[in-house]
Amino acid sequence: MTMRDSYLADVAKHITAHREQKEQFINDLRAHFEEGQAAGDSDMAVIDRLGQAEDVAAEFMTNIQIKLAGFWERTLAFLVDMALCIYTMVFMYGIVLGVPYMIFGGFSSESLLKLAEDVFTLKMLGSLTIILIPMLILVVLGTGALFLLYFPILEAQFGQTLGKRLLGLRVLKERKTAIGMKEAFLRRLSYYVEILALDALFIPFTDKKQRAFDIVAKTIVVRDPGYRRNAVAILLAIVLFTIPFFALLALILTNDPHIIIRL
Amino acid sequence: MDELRSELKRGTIEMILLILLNSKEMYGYQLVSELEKRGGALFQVKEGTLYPVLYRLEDKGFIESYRDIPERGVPRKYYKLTKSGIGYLQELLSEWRSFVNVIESFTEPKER
Repeated sequence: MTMRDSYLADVAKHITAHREQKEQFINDLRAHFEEGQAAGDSDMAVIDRLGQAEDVAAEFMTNIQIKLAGFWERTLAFLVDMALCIYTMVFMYGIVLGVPYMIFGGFSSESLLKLAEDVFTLKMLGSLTIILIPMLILVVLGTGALFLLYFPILEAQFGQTLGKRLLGLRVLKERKTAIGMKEAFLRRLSYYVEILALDALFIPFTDKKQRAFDIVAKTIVVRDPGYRRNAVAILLAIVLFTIPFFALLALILTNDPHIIIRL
Repeated sequence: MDELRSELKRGTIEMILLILLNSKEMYGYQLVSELEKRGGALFQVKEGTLYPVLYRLEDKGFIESYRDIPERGVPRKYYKLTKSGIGYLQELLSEWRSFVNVIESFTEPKER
């Protein structure tokens, strides 16, 4: 990759969505390099005069109208993400604990119930303990990492988590350019230091509809341009995060683990 | 001082680009070179930020662009002022002049 290409890629990286306008801009900048070259300027000299890639992108983004996302759609997206994390966690525990039980106890609902009982009463299958404990530690670490890293990694890489994608939301810097690792982790600090995301209650009352830690990280959440919200996506979102809720409710109400398997 | 200068630049850059395009049609690089030649250090801007200003002016219908593909060399995108752009420039200029006059009048010694 030449210096010119990597500079243009850098500008493009900071511009969010808007493919056609972005391509037009990048083409104009490329032509600018070519004119510079024809006038005897090196790529380095042209880059120096063009300015920092992010500043150039930010100036471009001033032309773009954005719509800030509100409290409810963001909460819904968050619940979808939490549901996905919980499913993954359950799946990982299921593999680690469930598979050995099934191998030794047979593939039956009884062995699953035995597992549930042993987990709840903290009794592990005797001879399996030695294998299970280290695997369990690995799973605990793995799911811990999942909960800590799911949001910041996806948001830094793609500007949105799966829940945000489903609802057409995107995280941007206040100057509307794409966020990086720094912003992604900063805005997520709230989840590491609080159990309840109290800071979300800031959203309805701030100018830019920011959570407290959005303000810290200087980020905003906007509606993805071009995304058309549809009832199916919203319904899917609601179903996704209510399933574990109802399963838990059923368990508590009936006090009977069989209900989970029947569900 | 830097802050005032950058604020002034930000506030007048559209007017300056329209003035330059009023003299003749130009392509991006030419426009930037012209700005640098005539504005010197006072009007030094990061060139990459000028294109978005041009898009903005184009969106508002004050300038329009067309492609020119020469027999050799780089295909160029020329910008030219539209009728409404000329009108807008006149408005900007008269606004600017009255602004400057008022500021000047502030600096004149007051009569008793």
